[in-house]
Amino acid sequence: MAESLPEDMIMEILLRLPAKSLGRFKCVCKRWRFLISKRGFAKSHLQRLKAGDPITSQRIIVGSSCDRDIPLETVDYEALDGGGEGRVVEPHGIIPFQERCCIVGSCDGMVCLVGPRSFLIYNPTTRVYIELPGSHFNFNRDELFSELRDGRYCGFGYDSQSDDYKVVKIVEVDDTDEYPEWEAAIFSLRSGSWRRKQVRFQEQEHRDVQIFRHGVYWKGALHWCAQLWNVDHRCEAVIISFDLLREEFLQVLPVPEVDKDVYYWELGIHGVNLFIYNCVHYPAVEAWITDEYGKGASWTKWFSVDCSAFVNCHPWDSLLLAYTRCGKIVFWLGTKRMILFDPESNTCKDYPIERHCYIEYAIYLETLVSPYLGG
Amino acid sequence: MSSSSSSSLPPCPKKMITLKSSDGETFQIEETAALQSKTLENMIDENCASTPIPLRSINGKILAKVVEFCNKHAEVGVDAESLHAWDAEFVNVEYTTLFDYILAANFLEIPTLLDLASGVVGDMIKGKTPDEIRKMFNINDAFSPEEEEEVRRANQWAFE
Repeated sequence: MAESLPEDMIMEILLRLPAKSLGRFKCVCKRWRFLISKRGFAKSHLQRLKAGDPITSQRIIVGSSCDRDIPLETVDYEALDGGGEGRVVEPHGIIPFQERCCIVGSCDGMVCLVGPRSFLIYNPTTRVYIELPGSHFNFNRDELFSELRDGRYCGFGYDSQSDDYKVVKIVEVDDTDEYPEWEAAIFSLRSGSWRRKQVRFQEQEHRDVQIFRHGVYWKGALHWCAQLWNVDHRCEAVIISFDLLREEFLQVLPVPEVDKDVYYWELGIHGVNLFIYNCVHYPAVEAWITDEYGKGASWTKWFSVDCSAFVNCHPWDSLLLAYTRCGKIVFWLGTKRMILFDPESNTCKDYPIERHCYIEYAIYLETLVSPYLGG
Repeated sequence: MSSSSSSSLPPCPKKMITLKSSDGETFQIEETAALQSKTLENMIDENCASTPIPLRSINGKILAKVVEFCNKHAEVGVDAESLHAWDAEFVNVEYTTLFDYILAANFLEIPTLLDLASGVVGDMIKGKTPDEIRKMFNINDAFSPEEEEEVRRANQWAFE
């Protein structure tokens, strides 16, 4: 029998375990339950996870705003390939959101959802959630919620300086003017309330800014791929980012340089890196990755694959969800299929998941971080 | 300090320090390799390393491996991939030995070894049942069956 280890060494081991094992190991003994449940453990575990190999804990949460009867589902996308221990697809019935909800964003293992009347911060791993109070809401509630349901212009992320999670929704307050005024509606979990703030977007002289998905949280800011249309109806693709500490827009980031005009890009998260891709150069899907921040973010070509054998829908309708550890790619195709594509053998497998219209999704990490209001 | 004399001296011989295990074995280790241990570094800085350093909590079998680890990680010109392969072989041992590595790495403050050994133990145990864990870690303060059932219910998500 082994000599028992001192507590701080038990901690060293626990901090390196996946969230699910930790949930099970609360049953080991009182001491282990105490260590795993105590304040600060979830945060240390998260930091260790991010500093190590977060890809192994990445999962996908899938929803769709029009499939009313289908619950949210989480996908352990590596498990389809025999890489995981649990089920590939798990349904999530969340009590306050029996009807339908949209995915607003994901950060540190928590996913922000918006339902018909309220917001929810949900940890799909531990299934712990809180509903955000709306009593101090400064907006026309119905209008905001109806806008929010399309999921765009919103996001959820972490401001490390104030140790605060924030839900952000950008609202156009007046479109009768030549140039619309923008405001940000911000919910801070620390303060437990909504605030509104006028925000200036430097490219506002453009006539129209189009965003297609919810913001992706990366390095303290929310990021959206956007199309800027100027007065001559010319279009430019950029990445808009909103800093969660200063609560203002940052200088737009360029998309990778390609030799054709590509206006339609999407962003994704791969571990601690941000990636960007386009499916427009049909049949090629091209992706770039970066771990740098700031003006002129340097994109490194990540991969380019031809998946025309499977992607037979309009290329704009295919989404690149994730890249596995052994180099396979998870795609969502059109309104129907989610596949794991192997570029090496040019084969694919279907995930047991069914939707009937466009999906929304977020990548999240399996963590023990629980949402709570207050400091 | 006089720096002018350094060029006239023959090349400095490798500085060695001596470690003594709990069962009385002695091991020579180059100072540069020993610096990976914060504990030894402090002793070297305080000039306490000129006589054999007694390590009463580490036996000879484990100390030999720790010295081997420090030597390998102090080698110049080892590429990351081959070091990774070497590490994998190094920790391909019984979990009881890994526990000894963890204890030694903790006592000597060798973060790379602590990280490596705890990570491997983590990989080893992540799929185990609470019962198997109790055996491995020699844990006696288990819950009563009723209590365990309650904790289990509260964490049902982890058992699905």
